[in-house]
Amino acid sequence: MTKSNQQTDHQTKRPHATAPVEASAPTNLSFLYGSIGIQAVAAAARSDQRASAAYRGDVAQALLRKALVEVGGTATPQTRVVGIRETADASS
Amino acid sequence: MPVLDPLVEVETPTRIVRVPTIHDSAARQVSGTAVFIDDIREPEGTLHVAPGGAAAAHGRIKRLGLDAVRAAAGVVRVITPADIPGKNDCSPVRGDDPILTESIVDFHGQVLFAVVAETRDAARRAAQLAEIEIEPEPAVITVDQALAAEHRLMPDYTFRKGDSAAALAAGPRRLSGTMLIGGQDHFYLEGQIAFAIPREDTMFVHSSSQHPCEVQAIIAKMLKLPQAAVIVETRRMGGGFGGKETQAAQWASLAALAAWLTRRPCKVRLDRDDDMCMTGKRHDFRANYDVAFDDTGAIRGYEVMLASRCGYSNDVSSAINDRAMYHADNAYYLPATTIVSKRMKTHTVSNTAFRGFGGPQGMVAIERVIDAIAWSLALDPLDVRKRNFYGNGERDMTPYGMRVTDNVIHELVDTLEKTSDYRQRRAEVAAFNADSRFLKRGLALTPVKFGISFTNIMLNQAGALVHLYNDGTVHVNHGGTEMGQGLFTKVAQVVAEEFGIDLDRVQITATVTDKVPNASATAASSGSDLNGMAAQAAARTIKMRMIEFAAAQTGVAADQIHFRENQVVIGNRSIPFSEAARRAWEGRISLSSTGFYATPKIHWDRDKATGRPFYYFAYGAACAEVLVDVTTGEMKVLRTDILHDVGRSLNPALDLGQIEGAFVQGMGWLTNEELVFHEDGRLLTHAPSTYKIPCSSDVPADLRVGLFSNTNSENTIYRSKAVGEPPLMLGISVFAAIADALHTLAPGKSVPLDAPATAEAIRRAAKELGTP
Repeated sequence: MTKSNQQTDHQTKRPHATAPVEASAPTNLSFLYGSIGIQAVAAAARSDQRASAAYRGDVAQALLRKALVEVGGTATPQTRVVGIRETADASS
Repeated sequence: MPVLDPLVEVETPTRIVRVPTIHDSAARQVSGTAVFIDDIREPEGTLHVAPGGAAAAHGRIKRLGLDAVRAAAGVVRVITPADIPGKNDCSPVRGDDPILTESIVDFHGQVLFAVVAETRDAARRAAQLAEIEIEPEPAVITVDQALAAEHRLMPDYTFRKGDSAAALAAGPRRLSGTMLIGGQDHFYLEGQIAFAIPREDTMFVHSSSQHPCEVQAIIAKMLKLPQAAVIVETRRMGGGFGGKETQAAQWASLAALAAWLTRRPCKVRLDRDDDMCMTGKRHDFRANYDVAFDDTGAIRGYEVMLASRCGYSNDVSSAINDRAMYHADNAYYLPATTIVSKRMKTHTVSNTAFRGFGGPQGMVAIERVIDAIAWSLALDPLDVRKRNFYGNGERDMTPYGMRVTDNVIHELVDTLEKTSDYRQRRAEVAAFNADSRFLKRGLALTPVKFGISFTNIMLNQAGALVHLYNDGTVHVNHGGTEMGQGLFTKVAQVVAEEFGIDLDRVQITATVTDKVPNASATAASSGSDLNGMAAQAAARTIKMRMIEFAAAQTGVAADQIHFRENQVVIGNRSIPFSEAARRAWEGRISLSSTGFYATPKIHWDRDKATGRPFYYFAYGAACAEVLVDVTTGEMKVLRTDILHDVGRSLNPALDLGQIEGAFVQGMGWLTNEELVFHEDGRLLTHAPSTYKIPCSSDVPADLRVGLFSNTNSENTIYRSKAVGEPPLMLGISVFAAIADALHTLAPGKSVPLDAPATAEAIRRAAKELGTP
């Protein structure tokens, strides 16, 4: 049986600890943090993010590139999924 | 004498079944008048229970300081393991799920104690005041960590067919790879809830459970009561999806324990965050595969290792992992194969049943293999799929020794290929992609073959209770539960059809353990198959008595007596059904009956890993087209065409609803829904803010669903087929379409995409395939 690992394990690669802080930690979850205190709760909330900082930066760059292309006259349905979605929604 | 054995089929035109009747609760549910457990008016003195959980994934409890909890405003009592008079266990099988853990913590959020207070808010606030010290111990969180540590929950299990090692060695072509397949939270709209009311001699519990009889048995053991002294009722659930098959028992037990100790009504309603942290989910898997195939894409040999994260205890993980193995072939004939299942123990919540019950994970793996073969050969994946389909009368042996004798996948897929314009759209997709820099389209048509029956043979039984009143109305009860799927409506249709009366004369009633005992869970897609047959048997028994009575009274031969259109036809005259019921009552004929059904033909030899675990298979296929932004990972499903086999549908409207909902849920599992655990064992995605189920705008704007014209070759209820789980796997078409779109970035290469294909995962794969 081959045990090659061609693809990454997103669960262990995700840089949760560096993700920005969310607005607030849900108070009803403080039992999960027991006696470690509210600071620890807030710290834990920092990792409560679905997307990594690297991905967000990547997307920001992509959007900037596309904005420049669009300024050059390319219509959004050719650059953005949301453009297609708007077209579909408008026709439905 | 008419044939009245439910196992003997009499084919006659139907008036009530096979009609697209509206769900019995539809109007009430959309108007907000359907009563769920939290809508039940609370008796005076009702108390509320909140659980207190552990803040470590694994460790020994050094101190459980509850003085501040007890002293908090509104608190009536704090419950600890010492308060349990009987067995401290809410597990379905193995006795390894403590209701309140005593000394060892096995997952983050495991319940240590419970607070009983005058209000829910007071109970929850007080629970936070506990001072808990836990001596940490090493924790195993992921499947890979468990594999590395060989941290098994139970022994490996293997299916072997032929000599797969020799087949792999012989090639002529060979691929190997790995795929990660994520878990899924049930995200039922109504969370876990139970409401216990102590009565004079019994404990009565409203439980949002797919398995009230199991909840009854667990509460009885916990309170050291006979099962007969515990009554559990479930009128309806606001969704179950498998998440209330076993996992409802803990909360019902806590409610019952609190009611037992205080002698007051007690309710447990979990907060959504707590619900997500404290209850099990769909198992996530690692699939390592090795496949040999020829130049046409025909598989010669296949080996796969399916390793799952079971969590800290067994729950029903054994059967779930078995089902992943049973479906590791999906619709494909595997000449030589070895399927190895590893059931890994982790210090996370105990994973549990979820629509498809492991089957979807096994299928996703083989669908990835098929795609990889197609990519390597520069063939259309659909052609590779069709080349490997099970045959009819040949190439029909599964890896577990059951022949596929009801195969309709060829005809079904051929039909969908035409109706979806697959070939034309394949060309259009290619043309679009050639000219599109940021956006790529993908197209995939994937099949489903899903085995129907509980693989634990014992569970394939059902009971029903039918009363006919002397005004001609009917009360029907059975062991199945209603979770929105329309089971109650379908069973009522069956009973109405048997008596030849209008559906509005049949009163649907709540599932309750004192009417039908020892019922199996409503699970394995078997609700209508089992309970429909049981209710039919009960109705036919009453009908037979009425026919015998009428024949004796009139001298008309029994075979000249018929029930139709609210009349009983006796020879050349007829009387209203209500009058026939009244006359039978006056003639001292019993108008009440139980009914029972046990699925025939199925058997399984676990040691030899062979047998016939399924009564039949349900089939389906979906063709999905997606649009992917390879620079951001954003994805939109543009169109989906579905053709699904429900045999001869009991209710086409309900079946279409099940198919649409299951497809969207399957699509969500493989795209948006991502469970992320911190390395310390905390679930990070425990609310809608971080765990995204599909919303209405995610549903394809162009969704075309059709029912495949078929009949069940087995004698099921009106020749219908189960519909609960199989269509979930139609969502695999979306995942395959995303991979197809990404494949255009680097033709010939395997697409490094794991499930779920979140925007981030899609973007990551696109980058690995060379997109800047």
